[in-house]
Amino acid sequence: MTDVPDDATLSYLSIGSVGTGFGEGSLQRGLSRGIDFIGADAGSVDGGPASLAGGPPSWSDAAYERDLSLLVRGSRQAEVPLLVGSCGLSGRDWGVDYFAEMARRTAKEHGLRFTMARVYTEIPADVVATALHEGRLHPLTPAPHYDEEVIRRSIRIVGVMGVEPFQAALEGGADVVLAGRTTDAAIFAAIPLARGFDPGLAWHAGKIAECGTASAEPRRRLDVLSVTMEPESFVVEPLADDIRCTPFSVAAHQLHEVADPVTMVEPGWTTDLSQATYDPASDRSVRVAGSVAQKTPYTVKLEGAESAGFQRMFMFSVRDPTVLAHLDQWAAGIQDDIAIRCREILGDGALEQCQVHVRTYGKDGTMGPREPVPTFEGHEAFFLVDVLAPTPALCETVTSVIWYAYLHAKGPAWRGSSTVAWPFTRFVHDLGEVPRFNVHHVIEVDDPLSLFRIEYEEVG
Amino acid sequence: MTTAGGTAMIDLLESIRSKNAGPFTVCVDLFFKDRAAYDHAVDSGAINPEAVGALYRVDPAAVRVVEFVPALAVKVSMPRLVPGGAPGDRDVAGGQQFVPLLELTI
Repeated sequence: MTDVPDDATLSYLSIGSVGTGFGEGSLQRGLSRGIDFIGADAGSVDGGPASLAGGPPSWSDAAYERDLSLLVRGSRQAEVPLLVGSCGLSGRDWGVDYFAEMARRTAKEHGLRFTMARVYTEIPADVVATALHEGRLHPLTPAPHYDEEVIRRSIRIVGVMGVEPFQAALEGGADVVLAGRTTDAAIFAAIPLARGFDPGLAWHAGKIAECGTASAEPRRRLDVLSVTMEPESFVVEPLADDIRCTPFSVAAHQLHEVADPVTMVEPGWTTDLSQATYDPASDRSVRVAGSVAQKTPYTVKLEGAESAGFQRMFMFSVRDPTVLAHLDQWAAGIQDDIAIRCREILGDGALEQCQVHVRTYGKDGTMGPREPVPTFEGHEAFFLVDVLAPTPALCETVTSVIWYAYLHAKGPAWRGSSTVAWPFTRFVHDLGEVPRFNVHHVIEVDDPLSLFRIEYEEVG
Repeated sequence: MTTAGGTAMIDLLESIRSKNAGPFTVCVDLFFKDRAAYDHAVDSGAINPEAVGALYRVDPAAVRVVEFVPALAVKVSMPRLVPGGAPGDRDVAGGQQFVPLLELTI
């Protein structure tokens, strides 16, 4: 599948994640070796849907700007492209604009001039609904129910783009490409594929590279990883002196964030990694070979969020050993009071419109129904309770009723009342309108670019 | 430690971790100490969808177990209780969900 001369090489740098930092010295060391491009991922869905639904990204303005500014300057210094995927964590259009503004500021402050492409990946509900009606929407496993009503009530839908929009933007003359939601590996596979390197190796290297030095050991803060593509293999090496890649550390990274470590499904390609080999190339670098990619019908994964309702929470602790000895009974004893008081204020059926989530740390707070030790152990228990309701007013009333019931819940051993402990003067915390992910489907397209929008600008 | 019931999982492991693979799936990666420990665990057949289903109270049909020799690892995946970060979630990134697998005896 390789379409390059026998002595062809292509090198790139990957930083771990924009906003979590990397060593400036590592970046400079990488640039001094002579490279073909810099790639950087900025996205994740690990924190849930808050950012996609309109919330802020994970890190501070200052943290993002430090990293992005170094990357833009590094790319201009070496005169090679910079590709950034999943700008602003969720890759929503706002994130692309947020990063673009930082890149413009860097250009101004450092007197740089370049062509920048912004790739937007939000998809209008109409486009998704049309795909649904045309039978071009397919569920992944496991998938929530998804129909036109769900599509229409979504706050936002993004398509997770593959390599083609990066390639198109580079052909369009871009020096810096800031993209919305992107598969992690596509950021790093786009240029090797365009230059004719073996697709299996290009995708596999992209997977290994996506988190920077997460594929090195010992695991420390993420830093810059160097990748060199050759016709029959690729070599990965960390640029910080005190970490190294080993066959184990590289292979282990292949398990990262995927359910299947040997089959890599990407837009338009599936790569079989089952025959891949991992051998030391030096005492700190690893050579990988043997991955094989095949073209598949082109699909783009969707990510979308909808409102789940309005949420408030409170927390408290219990230290009384006589309560802890009968914790479940103690908590059960307040349920009637809650129901009666909610009926008094709100009438019949109001409490039933709410979901109440009680997490008892010390018992099953972390694991819930999957806890293998579902009994209380320890000398204090921490409770975190939240209420999800269809309206803010209902949420406020029900949360305060439940809070009050716990506050003075009767202990089993003592006469009279007791009071739980809580740490803040404000005892109920309003979490506002909260989202949930509502789609795990792919959309089939003929043209890999059709869902995405590229805009160019001259910066500086 | 070998007991009458077999070897405790923790004694065979170099490392264990869990994390989401997208918002709907959580995975546990078990890295074994060496080839012998890996072979012992895999050959025993103890890590299987039925056993995992029983530990986590999950339908075994929804559990996947994939062996991955290059990292001397076994990967277990299953559906999350609620999508990552949805109301009712307890572990948004899935980072602590490996613990029940430590209960397994090989």
